[in-house]
Amino acid sequence: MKLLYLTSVLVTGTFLISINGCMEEPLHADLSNENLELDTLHLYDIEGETYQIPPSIGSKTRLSLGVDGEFEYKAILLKTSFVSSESVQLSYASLLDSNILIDSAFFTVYLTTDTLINPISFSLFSFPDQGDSVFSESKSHYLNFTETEIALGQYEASALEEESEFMVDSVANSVFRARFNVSDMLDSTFMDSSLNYTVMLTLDNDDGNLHSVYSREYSSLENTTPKLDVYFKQFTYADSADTSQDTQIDTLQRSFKVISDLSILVPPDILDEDSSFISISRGKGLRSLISLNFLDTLALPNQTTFDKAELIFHIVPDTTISSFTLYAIPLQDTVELTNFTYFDEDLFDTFSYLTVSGTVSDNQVVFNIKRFLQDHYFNHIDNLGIKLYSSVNNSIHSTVHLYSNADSLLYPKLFIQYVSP
Amino acid sequence: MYRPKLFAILTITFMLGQSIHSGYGLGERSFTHSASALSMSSRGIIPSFTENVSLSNPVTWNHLKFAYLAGNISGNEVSSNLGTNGHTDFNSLQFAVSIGSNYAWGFGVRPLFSHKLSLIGSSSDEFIVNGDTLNTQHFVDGSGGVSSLYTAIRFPITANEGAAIELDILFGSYRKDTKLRINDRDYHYYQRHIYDGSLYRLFLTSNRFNKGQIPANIYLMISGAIKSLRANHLSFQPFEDVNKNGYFDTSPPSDSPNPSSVPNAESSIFKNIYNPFEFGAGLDFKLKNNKSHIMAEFYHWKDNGNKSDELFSLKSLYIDQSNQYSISFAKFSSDDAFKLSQKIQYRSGVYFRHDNLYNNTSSVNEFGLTVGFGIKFGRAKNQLDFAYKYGLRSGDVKSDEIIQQITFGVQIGDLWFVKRRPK
Repeated sequence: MKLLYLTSVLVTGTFLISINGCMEEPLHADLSNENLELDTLHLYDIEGETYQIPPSIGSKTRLSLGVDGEFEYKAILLKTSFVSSESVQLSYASLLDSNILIDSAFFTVYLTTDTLINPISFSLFSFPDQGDSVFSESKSHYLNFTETEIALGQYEASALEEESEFMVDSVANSVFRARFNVSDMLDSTFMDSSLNYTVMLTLDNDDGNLHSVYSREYSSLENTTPKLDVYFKQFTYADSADTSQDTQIDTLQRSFKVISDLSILVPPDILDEDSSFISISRGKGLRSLISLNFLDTLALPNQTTFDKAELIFHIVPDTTISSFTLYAIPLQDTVELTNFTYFDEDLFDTFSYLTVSGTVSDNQVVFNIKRFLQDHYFNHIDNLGIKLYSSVNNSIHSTVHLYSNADSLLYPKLFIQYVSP
Repeated sequence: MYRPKLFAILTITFMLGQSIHSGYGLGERSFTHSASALSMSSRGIIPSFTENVSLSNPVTWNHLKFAYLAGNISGNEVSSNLGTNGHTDFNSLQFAVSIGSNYAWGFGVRPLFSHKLSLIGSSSDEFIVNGDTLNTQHFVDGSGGVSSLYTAIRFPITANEGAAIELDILFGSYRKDTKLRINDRDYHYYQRHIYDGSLYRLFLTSNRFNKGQIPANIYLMISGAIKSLRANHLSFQPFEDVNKNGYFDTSPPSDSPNPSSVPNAESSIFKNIYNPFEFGAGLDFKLKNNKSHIMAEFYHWKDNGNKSDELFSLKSLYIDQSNQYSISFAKFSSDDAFKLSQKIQYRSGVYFRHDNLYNNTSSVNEFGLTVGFGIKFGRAKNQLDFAYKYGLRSGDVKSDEIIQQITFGVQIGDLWFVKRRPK
């Protein structure tokens, strides 16, 4: 009885404590002393230095050959998949089967032109002796794929630009292409022992113009991806051990589509303003490093949360720049860069998850680096600087020059808006 | 057999309410913890439960005929020009038993401070930053409080005087959400206070004057801190509630900064935030009519604790000193009452209360009246109590307030420490 009584006390007590009132209408009060405040800071001591790397022209929707202003496209490199797009069961190696007889093979690229006034002639080369790696979309450029590497290509075929029709929903469509007969290329060396499946495209005659073909990134729907089509007969015997009996013959066609491609671009020489300003250019491979050293000594209130952190640059006015997107990304490593420097490749590792973009507008570009500042404030990452580089979608001809700290009135600034208890 | 009734009644909820003072400092001090005391405008010093017994005064518990489990809850409504609000409160849960005619023991739990607020900044600030117009406004929501887990023993001093010592273990927590709205973006700043401390209370009574034409009993109480209240203040990283769900989470679009990236809450200890001194005195005059009493009570309470700005951003309207004077009347039922009308105990009272706001910046007066009754039932003299209070708080710096309170109490009796005859 007493035990039950005490149990009632405990259980009822717990229950009662859980009953809490709640409010209906908020009351108005002077909350000016409440400890959550909004504040702002303008910071100006921002340094920047430009460096140059070979331009990266991969991941583009078009591949080019010829001359484009001051830029020269020397070659197009294309690598096909080792399995057909229709069936992953069918690879180059499986075409060597004795039950298969290759009738013909064509490598096709589709041109971006819409007229056919002066058909251009292209040559196709392969690299049977170059092992399994001829080029890299992200790392190959005019300095490591020079005339020497180009000369290693083995000539396979030439083709003239031509018009071709294909049907879409019973409607005839016209497309311009260059179709190379590569039947002879598909020997056992290419299909079996050579694993690079890479071909190179060059212009037979440089007419001083730019000629472009669709890259694999252009569209997966419009079937403009460069590809190698193989036409072959497949023999099927009732008894595979006795090939003298009746045979079923299937005539088939399979495509091996390009899975990586690249234009080899030779950029022009840089100008004085490219090195004197904070410069960004896709075509010239100009990138810049920004230093925000004051962040390490910046005294912010405890438990600061950033509402805005805008890194603002003013650009040297340039009427030719209509749309230009830049990326800003914090560095992972300490970098000492005191003047304009050239590098064979970009070795500066970055925190990719902190990448932000900014687009040139009203002669300025603004990067929202709130997350970088917040992570730095939490001591999750060090403040080692920020890399600025161009979007791959920018014109290769455009170079954006940003005013540096040395330029009065238009120097870069960091605007911070934050809340803190 | 009576416990299910207690559960059923205690599940009733009432209208909800908020005084402006409950949002400041530690919140609003809860002085009265039973319906019987409230109905006599008492803070628990004078007898109100039955003749010679106050549930809140352990020095009177030796007069209990049974062991009692007592529970009380109340509903408050506060009306002012600022609006009408309300809240329900748990008042107390207590067990008390007499041991012989001179000793008693009991324990229980009751709220000490009720800290509830939902405030909107009275002004919206507008300023221009980088050409953008920013409108900012503060909102504060919070709830919690300090409670006391206590135990008390009663013992005799002389043939006419008795004493009781009560030990109060203070505990509780408070959650606060400060919101800063910047245009249409909301930033939340969560804080939590975790309280601990201890108090003593010493009760004295004398029936030395319980004789003559107007017999009177005298009651005294004094209280202070053994270990003044301290708070472990947890301060959480402010965040932007991007997904507008009121929580700090990653539901798309994720709040900012990302919850997984923020450091642990910062903790700091604030000592001596509540250091009270309390004194109470009561006189119980028995009228010629054997069961009628007129009583008077004085109660003084002052908080000498430190209220730092960091812990208490809102404290200007905190009541840190309160004096109450009350006169009350009661007609108790006799122990051998048989008819229902004889089992009802009638109570009423009037009171005047004078409160000082933090640092004597201003004061508030409150006066009002209370009425109530209790009904005994069952062999163990169980009792249902009901009280109603109507008060006017004037001179307030914000707005005059009308306070109404309803309190229900249920007391279930049982026989303890009685030898039963073997069957």
